[in-house]
Amino acid sequence: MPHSALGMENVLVLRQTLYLISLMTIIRDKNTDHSAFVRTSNIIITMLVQEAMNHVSMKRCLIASGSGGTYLGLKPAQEICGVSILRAGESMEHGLNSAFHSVPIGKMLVQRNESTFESKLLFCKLPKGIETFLVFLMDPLLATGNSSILAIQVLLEKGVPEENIVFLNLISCSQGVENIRKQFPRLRLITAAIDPELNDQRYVVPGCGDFGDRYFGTY
Amino acid sequence: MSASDNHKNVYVLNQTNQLKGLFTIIRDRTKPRVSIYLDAELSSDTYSGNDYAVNDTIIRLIVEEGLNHLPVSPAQVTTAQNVKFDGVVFDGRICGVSIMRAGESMEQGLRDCCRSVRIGKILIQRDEESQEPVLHYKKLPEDIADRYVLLLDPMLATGGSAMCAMDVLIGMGCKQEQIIFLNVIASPEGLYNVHQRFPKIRIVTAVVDEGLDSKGYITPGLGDFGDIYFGTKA
Repeated sequence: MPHSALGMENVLVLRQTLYLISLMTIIRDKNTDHSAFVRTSNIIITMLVQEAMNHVSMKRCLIASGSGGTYLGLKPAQEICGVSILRAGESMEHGLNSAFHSVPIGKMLVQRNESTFESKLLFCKLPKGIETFLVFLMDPLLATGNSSILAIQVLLEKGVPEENIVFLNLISCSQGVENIRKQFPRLRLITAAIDPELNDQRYVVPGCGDFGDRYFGTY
Repeated sequence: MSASDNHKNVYVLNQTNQLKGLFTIIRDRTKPRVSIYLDAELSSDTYSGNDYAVNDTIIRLIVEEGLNHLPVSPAQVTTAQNVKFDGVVFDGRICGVSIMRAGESMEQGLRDCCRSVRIGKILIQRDEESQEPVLHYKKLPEDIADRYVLLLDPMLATGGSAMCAMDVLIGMGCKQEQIIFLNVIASPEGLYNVHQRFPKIRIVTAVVDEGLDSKGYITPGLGDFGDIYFGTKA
Protein backbone atom coordinates (compact mmCIF):
# COMPACT_ATOMS: atom_id res chain seq x y z
CA MET A 1 0.00 0.00 0.00
CA PRO A 2 1.47 3.33 -0.98
CA HIS A 3 1.27 6.26 1.34
CA SER A 4 0.25 9.83 0.72
CA ALA A 5 3.23 12.14 0.67
CA LEU A 6 3.89 15.69 1.72
CA GLY A 7 0.36 15.96 3.08
CA MET A 8 -1.03 15.87 -0.46
CA GLU A 9 -4.00 13.69 -1.14
CA ASN A 10 -3.36 12.65 -4.72
CA VAL A 11 0.36 11.99 -4.43
CA LEU A 12 1.14 8.34 -3.74
CA VAL A 13 4.59 6.95 -3.01
CA LEU A 14 5.19 3.23 -3.32
CA ARG A 15 5.70 1.45 -0.02
CA GLN A 16 9.41 1.74 0.76
CA THR A 17 10.10 -1.96 1.12
CA LEU A 18 13.64 -3.29 1.53
CA TYR A 19 13.39 -4.80 -1.96
CA LEU A 20 12.32 -1.52 -3.57
CA ILE A 21 15.08 0.43 -1.86
CA SER A 22 17.66 -2.13 -3.00
CA LEU A 23 16.42 -1.75 -6.58
CA MET A 24 16.51 2.04 -6.33
CA THR A 25 20.06 1.78 -5.01
CA ILE A 26 21.07 -0.03 -8.19
CA ILE A 27 19.57 2.52 -10.57
CA ARG A 28 20.84 5.48 -8.60
CA ASP A 29 24.42 4.17 -8.50
CA LYS A 30 26.43 5.88 -11.26
CA ASN A 31 28.63 2.77 -11.51
CA THR A 32 25.74 0.49 -12.43
CA ASP A 33 26.30 -0.82 -15.95
CA HIS A 34 23.86 -0.35 -18.80
CA SER A 35 22.48 -3.87 -18.75
CA ALA A 36 21.78 -3.89 -15.01
CA PHE A 37 20.21 -0.43 -15.22
CA VAL A 38 17.71 -1.60 -17.86
CA ARG A 39 16.80 -4.82 -16.03
CA THR A 40 16.36 -3.09 -12.68
CA SER A 41 14.39 -0.15 -14.09
CA ASN A 42 12.02 -2.62 -15.74
CA ILE A 43 11.30 -4.24 -12.37
CA ILE A 44 10.54 -0.90 -10.69
CA ILE A 45 8.37 0.12 -13.64
CA THR A 46 6.39 -3.11 -13.22
CA MET A 47 5.83 -2.27 -9.55
CA LEU A 48 4.60 1.23 -10.45
CA VAL A 49 2.25 -0.11 -13.11
CA GLN A 50 0.81 -2.66 -10.70
CA GLU A 51 0.01 0.12 -8.25
CA ALA A 52 -1.41 2.21 -11.07
CA MET A 53 -3.76 -0.58 -12.10
CA ASN A 54 -5.41 -0.22 -8.69
CA HIS A 55 -6.76 3.11 -9.89
CA VAL A 56 -8.73 1.61 -12.76
CA SER A 57 -12.48 1.61 -12.04
CA MET A 58 -13.73 -1.91 -11.72
CA LYS A 59 -17.16 -3.45 -11.90
CA ARG A 60 -18.41 -6.63 -10.32
CA CYS A 61 -18.86 -9.70 -12.41
CA LEU A 62 -20.02 -13.20 -11.59
CA ILE A 63 -18.09 -15.98 -13.21
CA ALA A 64 -18.46 -19.73 -13.19
CA SER A 65 -15.37 -21.65 -12.18
CA GLY A 66 -14.32 -25.00 -13.59
CA SER A 67 -15.16 -26.74 -10.31
CA GLY A 68 -18.86 -26.01 -10.59
CA GLY A 69 -18.93 -22.97 -8.29
CA THR A 70 -19.28 -19.28 -8.95
CA TYR A 71 -17.05 -16.36 -8.00
CA LEU A 72 -18.05 -12.72 -7.61
CA GLY A 73 -15.03 -10.95 -9.05
CA LEU A 74 -14.01 -7.71 -10.71
CA LYS A 75 -13.17 -6.59 -14.17
CA PRO A 76 -12.07 -3.23 -15.58
CA ALA A 77 -14.95 -0.83 -16.13
CA GLN A 78 -13.09 1.75 -18.17
CA GLU A 79 -10.75 1.92 -21.11
CA ILE A 80 -7.20 2.91 -20.43
CA CYS A 81 -4.32 4.14 -22.47
CA GLY A 82 -0.74 5.12 -21.84
CA VAL A 83 0.84 8.37 -22.94
CA SER A 84 4.60 8.45 -22.81
CA ILE A 85 6.68 11.59 -22.73
CA LEU A 86 9.48 10.82 -25.18
CA ARG A 87 12.19 9.71 -24.77
CA ALA A 88 12.53 8.47 -21.22
CA GLY A 89 8.82 7.77 -20.81
CA GLU A 90 8.94 5.20 -23.58
CA SER A 91 10.89 2.90 -21.26
CA MET A 92 7.64 2.42 -19.36
CA GLU A 93 5.43 1.38 -22.28
CA HIS A 94 6.21 -2.31 -22.14
CA GLY A 95 5.58 -2.44 -18.43
CA LEU A 96 2.11 -1.03 -19.03
CA ASN A 97 1.44 -3.41 -21.91
CA SER A 98 2.37 -6.38 -19.72
CA ALA A 99 -0.26 -5.40 -17.19
CA PHE A 100 -2.94 -4.44 -19.70
CA HIS A 101 -2.52 -6.27 -22.97
CA SER A 102 -2.71 -4.24 -26.18
CA VAL A 103 -3.17 -0.96 -24.35
CA PRO A 104 -3.10 1.98 -26.84
CA ILE A 105 -0.03 4.16 -26.43
CA GLY A 106 0.10 7.85 -27.22
CA LYS A 107 3.38 9.70 -27.48
CA MET A 108 4.44 13.28 -26.90
CA LEU A 109 7.85 14.78 -27.46
CA VAL A 110 8.52 17.75 -25.23
CA GLN A 111 11.95 19.26 -25.38
CA ARG A 112 13.51 21.24 -22.63
CA ASN A 113 15.79 24.07 -23.64
CA GLU A 114 18.86 23.52 -21.45
CA SER A 115 19.62 27.25 -21.16
CA THR A 116 16.19 28.71 -20.56
CA PHE A 117 14.62 25.53 -19.08
CA GLU A 118 11.50 26.25 -21.14
CA SER A 119 9.65 23.38 -22.77
CA LYS A 120 8.25 23.01 -26.28
CA LEU A 121 5.94 20.37 -27.84
CA LEU A 122 7.62 18.82 -30.88
CA PHE A 123 5.49 15.75 -31.61
CA CYS A 124 2.10 14.47 -30.49
CA LYS A 125 0.11 11.37 -31.47
CA LEU A 126 -2.70 10.33 -29.13
CA PRO A 127 -5.33 7.56 -29.30
CA LYS A 128 -8.71 8.49 -30.70
CA GLY A 129 -11.33 8.93 -27.97
CA ILE A 130 -8.69 9.68 -25.35
CA GLU A 131 -11.10 12.03 -23.59
CA THR A 132 -13.00 8.95 -22.40
CA PHE A 133 -9.96 6.97 -21.19
CA LEU A 134 -8.10 6.71 -17.96
CA VAL A 135 -4.73 8.05 -19.08
CA PHE A 136 -1.48 6.79 -17.58
CA LEU A 137 1.01 9.56 -18.30
CA MET A 138 4.54 8.18 -18.09
CA ASP A 139 7.86 9.89 -17.45
CA PRO A 140 10.44 8.29 -15.16
CA LEU A 141 11.91 11.51 -13.80
CA LEU A 142 10.05 14.57 -12.60
CA ALA A 143 12.36 17.51 -12.00
CA THR A 144 10.91 21.04 -12.28
CA GLY A 145 7.75 19.64 -13.80
CA ASN A 146 7.83 22.00 -16.78
CA SER A 147 7.77 19.23 -19.44
CA SER A 148 5.11 17.32 -17.55
CA ILE A 149 2.95 20.40 -17.10
CA LEU A 150 3.07 21.07 -20.83
CA ALA A 151 2.11 17.47 -21.56
CA ILE A 152 -0.75 17.59 -19.05
CA GLN A 153 -2.03 20.80 -20.63
CA VAL A 154 -2.10 19.11 -24.03
CA LEU A 155 -4.17 16.26 -22.56
CA LEU A 156 -6.60 18.72 -20.97
CA GLU A 157 -6.94 20.53 -24.28
CA LYS A 158 -7.84 17.23 -25.91
CA GLY A 159 -10.68 16.91 -23.43
CA VAL A 160 -9.18 14.52 -20.87
CA PRO A 161 -10.57 15.43 -17.44
CA GLU A 162 -7.87 16.14 -14.84
CA GLU A 163 -9.15 13.35 -12.59
CA ASN A 164 -8.63 10.87 -15.44
CA ILE A 165 -4.89 11.46 -15.55
CA VAL A 166 -2.60 9.25 -13.48
CA PHE A 167 1.04 10.31 -13.72
CA LEU A 168 3.58 7.50 -13.25
CA ASN A 169 7.04 8.33 -12.22
CA LEU A 170 10.14 6.64 -10.74
CA ILE A 171 11.86 9.56 -9.05
CA SER A 172 10.36 12.97 -8.51
CA CYS A 173 11.61 16.12 -6.91
CA SER A 174 9.47 17.73 -4.22
CA GLN A 175 9.55 21.00 -6.15
CA GLY A 176 8.15 19.37 -9.29
CA VAL A 177 5.50 17.52 -7.32
CA GLU A 178 4.33 20.76 -5.71
CA ASN A 179 4.26 22.58 -9.05
CA ILE A 180 2.06 19.90 -10.57
CA ARG A 181 -0.15 19.63 -7.51
CA LYS A 182 -0.81 23.38 -7.42
CA GLN A 183 -1.86 23.49 -11.07
CA PHE A 184 -3.67 20.18 -11.27
CA PRO A 185 -4.98 19.22 -7.82
CA ARG A 186 -7.25 16.46 -9.12
CA LEU A 187 -4.48 14.68 -11.05
CA ARG A 188 -3.06 11.59 -9.35
CA LEU A 189 0.70 11.07 -9.16
CA ILE A 190 2.31 7.74 -8.32
CA THR A 191 6.04 7.71 -7.70
CA ALA A 192 8.65 5.35 -6.26
CA ALA A 193 10.62 8.10 -4.51
CA ILE A 194 10.51 11.84 -3.82
CA ASP A 195 13.97 13.42 -3.73
CA PRO A 196 14.58 16.71 -2.00
CA GLU A 197 16.26 18.99 -4.52
CA LEU A 198 17.54 19.93 -7.96
CA ASN A 199 21.07 20.81 -9.02
CA ASP A 200 22.10 23.82 -11.15
CA GLN A 201 21.20 22.04 -14.36
CA ARG A 202 17.80 21.31 -12.79
CA TYR A 203 18.42 17.57 -12.56
CA VAL A 204 16.99 15.74 -9.58
CA VAL A 205 19.45 15.20 -6.70
CA PRO A 206 20.37 12.54 -5.71
CA GLY A 207 18.21 11.23 -8.57
CA CYS A 208 19.73 8.69 -10.94
CA GLY A 209 21.38 10.80 -13.63
CA ASP A 210 19.83 11.15 -17.06
CA PHE A 211 17.31 8.29 -17.20
CA GLY A 212 16.86 8.33 -20.99
CA ASP A 213 20.59 8.20 -21.67
CA ARG A 214 21.12 5.41 -19.17
CA TYR A 215 18.13 3.32 -20.28
CA PHE A 216 18.79 3.60 -24.01
CA GLY A 217 22.57 3.65 -23.67
CA THR A 218 23.14 6.87 -25.54
CA TYR A 219 26.07 8.27 -23.66
CA MET B 1 16.63 -16.21 -47.12
CA SER B 2 17.22 -14.90 -50.59
CA ALA B 3 18.98 -11.88 -51.99
CA SER B 4 16.54 -9.89 -54.05
CA ASP B 5 16.70 -10.39 -57.80
CA ASN B 6 17.13 -6.69 -58.40
CA HIS B 7 19.52 -5.61 -55.72
CA LYS B 8 22.51 -7.35 -54.30
CA ASN B 9 22.27 -5.92 -50.79
CA VAL B 10 18.55 -6.56 -50.27
CA TYR B 11 17.56 -9.69 -48.35
CA VAL B 12 13.96 -10.86 -48.24
CA LEU B 13 12.86 -13.43 -45.66
CA ASN B 14 11.76 -16.83 -46.91
CA GLN B 15 8.03 -16.62 -47.58
CA THR B 16 7.09 -19.49 -45.33
CA ASN B 17 3.48 -20.37 -44.55
CA GLN B 18 4.08 -19.19 -41.01
CA LEU B 19 5.25 -15.79 -42.21
CA LYS B 20 2.34 -15.50 -44.63
CA GLY B 21 -0.06 -16.48 -41.86
CA LEU B 22 1.27 -13.78 -39.55
CA PHE B 23 1.05 -11.21 -42.35
CA THR B 24 -2.52 -12.21 -43.11
CA ILE B 25 -3.41 -11.29 -39.55
CA ILE B 26 -1.65 -7.93 -39.40
CA ARG B 27 -2.80 -6.84 -42.86
CA ASP B 28 -6.46 -7.55 -42.05
CA ARG B 29 -8.08 -4.18 -41.47
CA THR B 30 -11.04 -5.73 -39.67
CA LYS B 31 -8.95 -7.24 -36.90
CA PRO B 32 -8.90 -5.37 -33.56
CA ARG B 33 -5.66 -3.73 -32.57
CA VAL B 34 -2.96 -6.34 -32.34
CA SER B 35 0.35 -6.01 -30.68
CA ILE B 36 2.42 -7.11 -33.62
CA TYR B 37 5.06 -8.38 -31.28
CA LEU B 38 2.55 -10.65 -29.54
CA ASP B 39 0.02 -10.97 -32.36
CA ALA B 40 -0.11 -14.73 -32.41
CA GLU B 41 -1.90 -14.72 -29.08
CA LEU B 42 -4.81 -12.74 -30.50
CA SER B 43 -4.91 -14.48 -33.83
CA SER B 44 -7.14 -17.20 -35.18
CA ASP B 45 -7.70 -20.50 -33.45
CA THR B 46 -5.00 -22.10 -35.54
CA TYR B 47 -2.36 -20.01 -33.85
CA SER B 48 -3.74 -19.49 -30.39
CA GLY B 49 -2.77 -22.90 -29.13
CA ASN B 50 0.54 -22.96 -30.91
CA ASP B 51 3.38 -22.03 -28.59
CA TYR B 52 5.90 -21.91 -31.37
CA ALA B 53 3.95 -19.19 -33.15
CA VAL B 54 3.69 -17.20 -29.94
CA ASN B 55 7.45 -17.00 -29.71
CA ASP B 56 8.27 -16.43 -33.36
CA THR B 57 6.98 -13.10 -34.66
CA ILE B 58 7.64 -11.17 -37.80
CA ILE B 59 9.81 -8.57 -36.19
CA ARG B 60 11.86 -11.13 -34.34
CA LEU B 61 12.49 -13.00 -37.61
CA ILE B 62 13.72 -9.84 -39.27
CA VAL B 63 15.98 -8.96 -36.37
CA GLU B 64 17.49 -12.41 -36.28
CA GLU B 65 18.19 -12.29 -40.00
CA GLY B 66 19.72 -8.86 -39.61
CA LEU B 67 22.04 -10.09 -36.87
CA ASN B 68 23.24 -12.80 -39.23
CA HIS B 69 24.83 -10.10 -41.37
CA LEU B 70 27.24 -9.00 -38.66
CA PRO B 71 30.83 -10.16 -39.01
CA VAL B 72 32.20 -12.91 -36.80
CA SER B 73 35.63 -14.14 -35.79
CA PRO B 74 36.59 -17.71 -34.95
CA ALA B 75 36.65 -18.49 -31.24
CA GLN B 76 37.58 -21.72 -29.56
CA VAL B 77 36.19 -22.83 -26.20
CA THR B 78 36.57 -25.97 -24.11
CA THR B 79 33.42 -27.83 -23.11
CA ALA B 80 32.71 -29.54 -19.79
CA GLN B 81 33.59 -32.77 -21.60
CA ASN B 82 37.10 -31.33 -21.98
CA VAL B 83 36.69 -31.14 -25.72
CA LYS B 84 37.57 -28.12 -27.80
CA PHE B 85 34.74 -26.50 -29.73
CA ASP B 86 35.36 -24.22 -32.70
CA GLY B 87 32.76 -21.50 -32.57
CA VAL B 88 32.40 -17.83 -33.46
CA VAL B 89 32.06 -14.52 -31.67
CA PHE B 90 30.49 -11.43 -33.07
CA ASP B 91 33.04 -8.87 -34.14
CA GLY B 92 32.52 -5.30 -33.12
CA ARG B 93 29.66 -3.66 -31.29
CA ILE B 94 26.16 -2.81 -32.38
CA CYS B 95 23.35 -0.44 -31.65
CA GLY B 96 19.80 -0.05 -32.85
CA VAL B 97 18.51 3.22 -34.24
CA SER B 98 14.77 3.54 -34.57
CA ILE B 99 13.04 6.02 -36.83
CA MET B 100 10.28 7.32 -34.54
CA ARG B 101 7.46 6.48 -34.21
CA ALA B 102 6.88 3.29 -36.16
CA GLY B 103 10.48 2.11 -35.88
CA GLU B 104 10.16 2.05 -32.11
CA SER B 105 7.86 -0.95 -32.40
CA MET B 106 10.90 -2.96 -33.45
CA GLU B 107 13.07 -2.02 -30.46
CA GLN B 108 11.74 -4.72 -28.16
CA GLY B 109 12.33 -7.39 -30.79
CA LEU B 110 15.92 -6.20 -30.98
CA ARG B 111 16.32 -6.13 -27.20
CA ASP B 112 14.95 -9.65 -26.94
CA CYS B 113 17.76 -10.88 -29.16
CA CYS B 114 20.48 -8.60 -27.79
CA ARG B 115 19.63 -7.84 -24.20
CA SER B 116 20.09 -4.18 -23.28
CA VAL B 117 21.40 -3.23 -26.71
CA ARG B 118 21.92 0.51 -27.00
CA ILE B 119 19.11 2.26 -28.82
CA GLY B 120 19.30 5.58 -30.57
CA LYS B 121 16.25 7.43 -31.84
CA ILE B 122 15.67 9.74 -34.76
CA LEU B 123 12.53 11.78 -35.40
CA ILE B 124 11.95 12.76 -39.02
CA GLN B 125 8.89 14.63 -40.15
CA ARG B 126 7.88 15.94 -43.52
CA ASP B 127 8.08 19.72 -43.89
CA GLU B 128 4.53 20.96 -44.34
CA GLU B 129 5.30 23.07 -47.38
CA SER B 130 8.03 21.27 -49.23
CA GLN B 131 6.99 17.75 -48.14
CA GLU B 132 10.69 17.02 -47.78
CA PRO B 133 11.68 14.85 -44.81
CA VAL B 134 13.43 16.89 -42.13
CA LEU B 135 15.32 15.83 -39.00
CA HIS B 136 13.56 17.09 -35.84
CA TYR B 137 15.25 15.20 -33.05
CA LYS B 138 18.05 12.76 -32.53
CA LYS B 139 19.63 10.99 -29.59
CA LEU B 140 22.36 8.57 -30.61
CA PRO B 141 25.19 6.76 -28.83
CA GLU B 142 28.27 8.97 -28.87
CA ASP B 143 30.46 6.27 -30.35
CA ILE B 144 28.01 5.33 -33.09
CA ALA B 145 30.66 5.69 -35.78
CA ASP B 146 32.42 2.70 -34.17
CA ARG B 147 29.32 0.49 -34.15
CA TYR B 148 27.26 -1.55 -36.56
CA VAL B 149 23.91 0.16 -36.79
CA LEU B 150 20.62 -1.72 -37.14
CA LEU B 151 18.34 0.98 -38.52
CA LEU B 152 14.69 0.22 -37.73
CA ASP B 153 11.63 1.31 -39.68
CA PRO B 154 8.82 -1.12 -40.53
CA MET B 155 7.57 0.53 -43.72
CA LEU B 156 9.72 1.50 -46.69
CA ALA B 157 7.59 3.47 -49.15
CA THR B 158 9.44 6.11 -51.19
CA GLY B 159 12.45 5.76 -48.93
CA GLY B 160 12.52 9.49 -48.17
CA SER B 161 12.55 9.17 -44.38
CA ALA B 162 14.91 6.21 -44.46
CA MET B 163 17.40 8.07 -46.62
CA CYS B 164 17.17 11.13 -44.38
CA ALA B 165 18.02 8.90 -41.41
CA MET B 166 20.86 7.30 -43.34
CA ASP B 167 22.23 10.77 -44.10
CA VAL B 168 22.23 11.50 -40.38
CA LEU B 169 24.17 8.32 -39.62
CA ILE B 170 26.70 8.93 -42.40
CA GLY B 171 27.05 12.49 -41.14
CA MET B 172 28.00 11.13 -37.74
CA GLY B 173 30.79 9.09 -39.24
CA CYS B 174 29.14 5.74 -39.96
CA LYS B 175 30.15 3.98 -43.15
CA GLN B 176 27.48 2.49 -45.42
CA GLU B 177 28.83 -1.01 -44.77
CA GLN B 178 28.13 -0.56 -41.06
CA ILE B 179 24.43 0.08 -41.58
CA ILE B 180 21.83 -2.68 -41.86
CA PHE B 181 18.29 -1.46 -42.47
CA LEU B 182 15.62 -3.69 -40.87
CA ASN B 183 12.18 -3.39 -42.38
CA VAL B 184 8.85 -5.24 -42.39
CA ILE B 185 7.24 -4.21 -45.71
CA ALA B 186 9.15 -2.62 -48.57
CA SER B 187 8.02 -1.20 -51.90
CA PRO B 188 10.09 -1.79 -55.03
CA GLU B 189 10.38 2.00 -55.42
CA GLY B 190 11.80 2.39 -51.93
CA LEU B 191 14.33 -0.38 -52.41
CA TYR B 192 15.43 1.14 -55.69
CA ASN B 193 15.74 4.67 -54.31
CA VAL B 194 17.74 3.62 -51.27
CA HIS B 195 19.97 1.35 -53.29
CA GLN B 196 20.72 4.08 -55.81
CA ARG B 197 21.94 6.47 -53.11
CA PHE B 198 23.46 4.02 -50.69
CA PRO B 199 24.41 0.89 -52.64
CA LYS B 200 26.45 -0.53 -49.76
CA ILE B 201 23.73 -0.35 -47.10
CA ARG B 202 22.19 -3.78 -46.58
CA ILE B 203 18.42 -4.06 -46.30
CA VAL B 204 16.59 -6.94 -44.60
CA THR B 205 12.84 -7.03 -45.18
CA ALA B 206 10.06 -9.54 -44.61
CA VAL B 207 8.20 -8.88 -47.83
CA VAL B 208 8.31 -6.71 -50.96
CA ASP B 209 4.83 -5.45 -51.83
CA GLU B 210 3.48 -4.49 -55.24
CA GLY B 211 4.12 -0.76 -55.19
CA LEU B 212 2.86 2.63 -54.05
CA ASP B 213 -0.61 4.06 -54.51
CA SER B 214 -1.39 7.61 -55.66
CA LYS B 215 -0.89 8.94 -52.11
CA GLY B 216 2.48 7.27 -51.73
CA TYR B 217 1.29 4.51 -49.40
CA ILE B 218 2.52 0.97 -49.89
CA THR B 219 -0.05 -1.27 -51.52
CA PRO B 220 -1.44 -3.75 -50.55
CA GLY B 221 0.45 -2.75 -47.39
CA LEU B 222 -1.41 -2.54 -44.12
CA GLY B 223 -2.01 1.15 -43.47
CA ASP B 224 -0.06 3.22 -41.00
CA PHE B 225 2.14 0.81 -39.04
CA GLY B 226 2.66 3.21 -36.14
CA ASP B 227 -1.08 3.83 -35.75
CA ILE B 228 -1.86 0.11 -35.84
CA TYR B 229 0.90 -0.90 -33.44
CA PHE B 230 0.32 1.88 -30.90
CA GLY B 231 -3.46 1.95 -31.23
CA THR B 232 -3.72 5.56 -32.35
CA LYS B 233 -5.76 4.89 -35.47
CA ALA B 234 -7.78 7.93 -36.47
